[in-house]
Amino acid sequence: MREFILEVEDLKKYYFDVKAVDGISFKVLKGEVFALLGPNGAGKTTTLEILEGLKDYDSGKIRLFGEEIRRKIPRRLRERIGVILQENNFVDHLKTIEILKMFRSLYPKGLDIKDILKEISLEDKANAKVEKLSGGQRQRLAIGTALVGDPELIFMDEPTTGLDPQARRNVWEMIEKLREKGKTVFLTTHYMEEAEYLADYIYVMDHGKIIAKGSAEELISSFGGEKIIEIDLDSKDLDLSFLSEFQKTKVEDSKIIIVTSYLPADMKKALDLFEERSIKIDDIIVRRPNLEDVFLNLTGRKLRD
Amino acid sequence: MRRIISIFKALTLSSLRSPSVIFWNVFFPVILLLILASIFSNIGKEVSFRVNFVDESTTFKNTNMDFASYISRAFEEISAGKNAVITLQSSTTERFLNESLKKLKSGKIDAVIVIPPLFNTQIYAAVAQQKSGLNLFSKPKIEVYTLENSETSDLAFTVISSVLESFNLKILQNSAPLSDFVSPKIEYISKNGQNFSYIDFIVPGILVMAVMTVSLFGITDDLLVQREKKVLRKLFVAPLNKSEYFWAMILSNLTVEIVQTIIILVLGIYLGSHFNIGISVLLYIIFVMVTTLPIGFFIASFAKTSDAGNALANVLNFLFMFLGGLFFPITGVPLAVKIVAYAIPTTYLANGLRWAMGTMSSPTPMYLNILVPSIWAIVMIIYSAKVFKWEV
Ligand SMILES: Nc1ncnc2c1ncn2[C@@H]1O[C@H](COP(=O)(O)OP(=O)(O)OP(=O)(O)O)[C@@H](O)[C@H]1O
Ligand SMILES: [Mg+2]
Repeated sequence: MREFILEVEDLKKYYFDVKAVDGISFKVLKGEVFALLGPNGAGKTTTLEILEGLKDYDSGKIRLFGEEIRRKIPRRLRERIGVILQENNFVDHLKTIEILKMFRSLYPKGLDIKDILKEISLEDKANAKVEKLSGGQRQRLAIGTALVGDPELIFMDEPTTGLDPQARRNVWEMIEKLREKGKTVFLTTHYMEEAEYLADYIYVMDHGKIIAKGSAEELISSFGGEKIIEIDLDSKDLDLSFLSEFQKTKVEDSKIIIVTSYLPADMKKALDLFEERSIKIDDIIVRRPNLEDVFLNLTGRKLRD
Repeated sequence: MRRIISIFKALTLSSLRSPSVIFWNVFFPVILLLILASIFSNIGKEVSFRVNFVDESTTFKNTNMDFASYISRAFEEISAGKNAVITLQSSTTERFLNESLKKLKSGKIDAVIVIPPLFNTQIYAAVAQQKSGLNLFSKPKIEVYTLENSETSDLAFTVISSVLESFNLKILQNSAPLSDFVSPKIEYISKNGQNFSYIDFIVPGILVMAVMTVSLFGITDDLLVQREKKVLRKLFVAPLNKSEYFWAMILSNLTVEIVQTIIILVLGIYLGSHFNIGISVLLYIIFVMVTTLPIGFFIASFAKTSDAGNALANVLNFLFMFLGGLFFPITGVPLAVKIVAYAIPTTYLANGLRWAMGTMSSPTPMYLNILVPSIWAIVMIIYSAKVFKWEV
C-alpha cells in the first residue's frame, strides 16, 4: 500500500464571519500530483499557508510525513518541502544565481545550481538582477528556489497564474518531470484544464468546503452519460425563461449551456423552442462535459468570473 | 551558522548594491561632513594674516649683535606650521619693499614690517645708554605698515606688536637686571592651548549620525519592508529559522556601519582632525552601534506598516540628530529643548565619542555617556521583545 505524505482532517480557519476554510479533510499520496481546484476566495491559499506553517488554524488535524503538526513546522520537515507562494518576492539587488545559492545553502542537501538554472531555463539570466526579471522568469525562479533543496513534497500556489500559454506549458512540463522523479506535488489552481492535465487527484473547493473529489475522469463521469449542449446566440438580454423546461441550464451573456442525459430529444426540444420564439442561433455544439461543467453543475457558478 | 552567514551575505550584498542605501548611509554623511567642515572650519581657529617682512638693516650683520635677524627668526617661528597665525614672506631687497607696499595697498597682504638700516646700531646704543642712564640717541624703531580701515590689518598689527613687545622684554632681560620701569607685557601665546576645533567636534557627530541612520532605517527595512514585500515568508517556509534571520540582519547592518565608520574616520583625518584611534575609540564606536540598533527594533515593533516605520524612523532620526548636538553645540536653547536634549541617547553618544577620540572633553560625565544610551537600549529591547511579531 502506498503511504500518505500528507493527511488533513476537519481543518478550520475562520476570519470572524468569513469561513475561509470550513472543515476540510483530504489525504495526499506519496508521488502523486494533487490539485486543489477552486474559484477566487475559495480558501485554497489559506489551506496551503496553514500547511506551510505560515498561518494558524482554529481546529483540525494535520499529519505531515506521518508526523502530527501543531502550528509550527519543525525545520527537519521544512527541509523536505519546497514552496512556491502565490506571490514570490526576493531580496532586492541580488542576481538570479545568488538567490538560488542562498536558498540552496538553507537545505542540507540539494541540486547543483547549474542543473537548476537549466531546469528553469534561466541560464542566460543567471547574472541578471532579480528586479530585472519578467513575471514569467520570476515565477520560474520561484520554482527554482522551491526545487533547489531537492524536496520530496512541493507546495505550489497557482503556479501558472499570470503566465502566457507557452510559459504555462513549460511549468506543466516541469511538474510532469517532478512526478516522474517520484516527487509529490500539491498545487492549487483555478484553471480546470490545468487540474485536468496535471492532477492525479483533484479536490474541488468552494467557500471553504470540499464539494467534490476524484480524478478528472471520475469527476467528469459523475455526470453519467450526460452531454453538454452549448448554444451561441446572436444577441443578449433576451427573455430565456422558457429554458426552465430543461433540468440543468446556465446562461451567460449570449451563451447557453444545457446539460442533457437524453441528447436527441433535448436537442430537438431546444431547437423547437428557439424556432417558436424566432430567436436566432449563431452556433450550436454538443460536447463531453469537462471540469468547468462539473463545477458549474455543483455550484451553478463558473470557476472564473 | 551556515544559514546565518548565507542570509547575512545576501542582505549585505543587497544593501551595498542599493543606490539609496549607499546614498543615505555613505554619500550623505560624507557630503554633510565636507559641507559643514568647509563652512565652519574657521570657528575657533585664528585667522591667518599675510605679513611681509623687509630687513634693511646693514650694521652688525652676522654677529651676535644682529638683533634684526633675531626678530626675523621670531616671526619665522610663529609663521611655521599648518595653523600658524601669520604667513610670512621675508627678504632684504629694496624691490621687495616696494612690491610689498603695493600688495598691501591692493589688499593682497595685511601688514609690512620694515627693519630700518641702522636698527642694530640703534639697539646697541639704546641698551648702552639705558645702562648709563644717558639719553643721547634716538630710540630704535621698527616700521609696521598697515592698511587703514581694514579690520584684518588692525588685527595683524596687534599680533605683530605683541610679538615685538615680547622681544622688547627679552632684550631688557638680557641686557639689564630686570628694570622696574618696564612692566612686563603679556607674552604672545602661540597656538598650543585647548582651542575649539570644529572638525574635531563634527567628525564624531557625523559618525554617530551615520551609524544611527543605518540602525534606524536598516532594521526598518529588514523587518518591516521585507515582511510587507513578502520576502520574509518566502524565507521562513524554507528551512530558515527566525532567530537565524535576526542575527544575519544584525551582522549585515553592523557591516554597513563598519564601512561607514572607516570612510568617515579616514575623511576626518584627511580634513585635519587629530583624534586617537585606540581601543577606547573602537569600543565606544561598537557601543554606539549596539545601543542604536535596539531603536531600530523599537520602530519595527511599534509601527505596523513599512510606511509608518519609515516615518517614525525619520522623526526619530531628525530629533536625535539635531537635539543630540551632533553638528552644533546645544547652547542658548529654551529649557524644554534642553531637557529633551539631555534625555536622548545621541547627546551622550556624541559626547562619549568625542571624549574617547581624545579631541574634546565631555560636558556630561563619562558614566552617563555609557549609562543613558544603555538604558535606552535595554528599554527598547524589552519593549520589542514584548511587542514585535513576525506575522509573515
Ligand atoms: N487575513 C485575512 N483576513 C480576513 N479574511 C481573509 C484573510 N485572508 C483570507 N481571507 C478571506 O478568506 C477567504 C479565502 O481566501 P484565500 O486567499 O484562501 O482564497 P483563494 O482560494 O486562495 O483565492 P485566490 O484564487 O483568489 O487566490 C477569502 O474570502 C478571503 O477574503
Ligand atoms: Mg490564493
